[in-house]
Amino acid sequence: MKLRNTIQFKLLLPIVLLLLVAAACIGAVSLYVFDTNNRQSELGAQALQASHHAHNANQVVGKIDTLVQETLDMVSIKSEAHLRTRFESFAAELNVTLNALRATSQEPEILEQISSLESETNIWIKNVRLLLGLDKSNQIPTRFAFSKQTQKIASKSLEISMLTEDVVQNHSENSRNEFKNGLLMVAALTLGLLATITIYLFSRIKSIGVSMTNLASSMTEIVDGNLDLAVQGQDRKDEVGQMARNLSKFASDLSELDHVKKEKFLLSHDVLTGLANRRLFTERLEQELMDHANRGNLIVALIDLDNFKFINDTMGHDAGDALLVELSNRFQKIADRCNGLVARFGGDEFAMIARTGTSYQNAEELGEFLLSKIAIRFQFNSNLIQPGCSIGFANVEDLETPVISDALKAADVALYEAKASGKARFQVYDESIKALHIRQQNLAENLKSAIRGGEINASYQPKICLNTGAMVGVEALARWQMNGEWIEPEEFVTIAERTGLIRSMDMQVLKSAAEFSVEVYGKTGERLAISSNMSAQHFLSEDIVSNVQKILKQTGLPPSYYTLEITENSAVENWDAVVSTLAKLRMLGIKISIDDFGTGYSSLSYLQRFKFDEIKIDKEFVNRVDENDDSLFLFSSIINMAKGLGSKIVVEGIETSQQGIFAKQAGGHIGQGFLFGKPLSRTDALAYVERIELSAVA
Amino acid sequence: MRIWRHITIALIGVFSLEHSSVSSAQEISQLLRDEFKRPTVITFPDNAPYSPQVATLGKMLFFDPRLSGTQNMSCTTCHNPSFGWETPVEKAIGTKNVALDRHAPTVLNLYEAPQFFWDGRAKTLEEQAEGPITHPKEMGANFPDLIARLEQIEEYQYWFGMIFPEAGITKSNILTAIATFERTLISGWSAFDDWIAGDENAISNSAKRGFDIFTGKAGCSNCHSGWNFTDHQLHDIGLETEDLGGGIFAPDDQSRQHTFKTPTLRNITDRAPFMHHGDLLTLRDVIAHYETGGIQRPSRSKLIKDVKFTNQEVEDLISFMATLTEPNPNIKAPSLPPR
Repeated sequence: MKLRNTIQFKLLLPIVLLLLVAAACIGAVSLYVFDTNNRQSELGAQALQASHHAHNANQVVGKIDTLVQETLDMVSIKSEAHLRTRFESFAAELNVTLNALRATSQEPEILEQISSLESETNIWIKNVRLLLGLDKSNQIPTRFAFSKQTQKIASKSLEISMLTEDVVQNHSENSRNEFKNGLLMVAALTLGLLATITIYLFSRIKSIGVSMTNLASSMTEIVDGNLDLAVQGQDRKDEVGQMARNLSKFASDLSELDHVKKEKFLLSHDVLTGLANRRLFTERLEQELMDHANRGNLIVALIDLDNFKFINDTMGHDAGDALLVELSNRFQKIADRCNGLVARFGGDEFAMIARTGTSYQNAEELGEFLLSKIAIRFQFNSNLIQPGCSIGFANVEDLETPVISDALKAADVALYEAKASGKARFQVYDESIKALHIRQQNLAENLKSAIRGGEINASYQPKICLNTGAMVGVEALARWQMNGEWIEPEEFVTIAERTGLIRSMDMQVLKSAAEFSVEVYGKTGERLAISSNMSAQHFLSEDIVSNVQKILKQTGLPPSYYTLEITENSAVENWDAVVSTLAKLRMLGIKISIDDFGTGYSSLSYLQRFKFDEIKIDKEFVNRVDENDDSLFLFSSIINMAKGLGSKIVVEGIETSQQGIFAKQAGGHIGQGFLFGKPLSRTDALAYVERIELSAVA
Repeated sequence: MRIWRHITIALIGVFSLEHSSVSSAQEISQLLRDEFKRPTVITFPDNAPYSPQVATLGKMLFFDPRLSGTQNMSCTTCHNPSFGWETPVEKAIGTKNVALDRHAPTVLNLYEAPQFFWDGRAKTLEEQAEGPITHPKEMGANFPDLIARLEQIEEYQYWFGMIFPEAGITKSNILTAIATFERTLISGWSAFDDWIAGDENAISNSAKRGFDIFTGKAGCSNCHSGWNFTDHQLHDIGLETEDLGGGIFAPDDQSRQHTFKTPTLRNITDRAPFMHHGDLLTLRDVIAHYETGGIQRPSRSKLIKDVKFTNQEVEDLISFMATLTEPNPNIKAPSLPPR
């Protein structure tokens, strides 16, 4: 920057210049005043001297007069020589004094007076000489005449003294006035220069100040995140301009940085909650796992909200989002307390990295704490929400191979177990879970090959008309034998659902059942109505419609003999998609049944939106029906309600004849359960149906 | 001369009165007053010039009782400055404790006088001074003894030697010194002098009226003229006296019988009793005398007027005369040489 453009230069140079000018002016005026004062002082001093001389003259006159008076008093004789000496000394003194008086006086008026004094003094002196006998004459002045003369001279000299004093006073007054005027001039000059400096500096500082204010507000805006602003004052040539240009540059650089950072943040964070996302979580976990020394106390947790869909559906997505945010905050605090990281994997799934030996000694403590914090009720608008989560923990040290996939899998297994054992619980991955997990892994692997290899068979459980006792159809259930061991459907279906194999499996079951029905028809000429389960996963895509249609076509089973069973849970959780899919399926001519009715969490409102052909009352109800009157009442009420919707009522899980009677009395149309027959293999089922008389219920 | 001057003033007054202007009356008054203006110089005779030494020596002698024969009185015994240079008795008492023939006259304002003593027998002050010193009834000294006595006094020796280097202590030098001193004796500046000088408030209205009577109706200023209120001449004012005054030296001149020298009226209030015999004790007596006009005899002055005064006029005259006194004797006693 050029020197002349700097603020220092612009502010200081004028001040220095003005101060120099001011000093020069004040100096000059002061000198002038000083000089005037001096001159006046000189004149004053001169006048003062003149006054002094006049006064002296008066005194000398007095002395001479005293000499004369003493002489005239004639008390004792004084010799002529004595008188002469004294007189001449006084006369000389008077002469000197008068000369001095004349020399020091300048005022014409005073000079005139002095002349007059001198001439009178001359006459007087003559008389003095006469009276002292220094001059001889036959006449001497009378004493009073002489005294009058003396008085006249004395008063004249006094008058001169006073006149000169007046002059002194005038001079000093002049001097004072001039001095005062000079001072006023200095003051005026100083004030004027100060005003000029002030005005100049004011305009300068104001200009700089305004620019600084603009800069400051620009900075504030930048701090607040507005990086695209136009910084003012960039055209200035001084430091402010430099600052403005730099700030502008800074803002644009920051803006670029900010975009990068934002993108980076979005890449690694959940938008809704601001928590880390799965990607960041994975990266972090990877880093933690790499740290061999410190991974001993590392815990990985998976947290799954219970009943999140229920909250979303009943209170709206805003409530759901708010709950997610609230829980995120709670999780974040806890994660901070154990040097961990919490991430949202999506939906209602969260994951946490935590370290034991921090605020929590182990996973169990952390679990208890998490559950207690989660359980705090949350107010959204006017609704009180009681959150609940299931948590699965995995201690990294318990893992065989400390890799991300294993850690997450272990936590997932634990979570699954927690959920399976009831809601709002946590489970730590341990040996038993590990075994379970290994089994599940094993099962999953085998199930996969089994499904590919078409090893999933269907078993058939009769559905009996409660009024006639006739078999109205069979429900085809998946049956799988792994290495000669029959695996419980609950176990492998869950695995199939979790691994996505369920779709092929469901289709295989349907295909087997359809083929079975066609075979029965071929052998007996009777149409056997079949039903099979369709997992909710199917309803996420429309493939199910074409797949079902394809199987029915391939097998030649008339659609009306097929009842598709969907569990209440599945149906409700994806209701909008489910309804449209169900509508398309029904257009194929098949029947739609809702399974496990009464165990879902939703309201019954969905029953208004879709009319199911058949409602299957969950076996829980019939199992307890003989326990007490309440259970019976509940059972009856559910059946009544379902009947009211105009659907066929299927009572599942009838194991005793008593239950069958209750079911029939309550109004159930069809019964299903061990009382009527266990699921049968294809062969057994074929034999069974050949034996009994089928009653067409389609 | 003086009469003519009065006539001139009167003529001017008449002339002025024709114009009947106040200012002319004032002018007359001013002219009249100018008559009484004091001189500013003292004139000394050529043979006895002034010197402070001579005058002081004269003063010493004047105050020195050693000038009397029995050394019991000095000039000041009878010419006491505290009584206007007189003594407050009808007739002063002499060295032999005997009253003298006349009242002691003042020695004030004598420098201009042409004759001395009540009867005017001395023509100079020197001459006059010899009289009382040597008169047996007065100081009773004789000069040889006196000179011898003074010569015994070292300081007189010294001063006479210095002042009169040729002769030293002589009769003539003694008398010259005394006369020179006497010439310096001038009455003080009185209220009247201030009035004459123009200060209208210097004297009372009564005094001013007195002045008018004095110079007008009473005709006092016919003889008591000028600043010194004397014409230095001898007049018979009709006093009852056996003393012939000036007549002693002119027995044949009728007009000079009972004539006495007009005394100055300066400091007159200090100088009672009055007249050559001192028989008039107060100024009222003096005025009363003039009202009577005195004894009608051939020598009585023609200037004596037949006047009568009201009481007020008497008061005015006395008021006026009082303004002529300057009460401060204005004299310092000289330091006299010891024996």
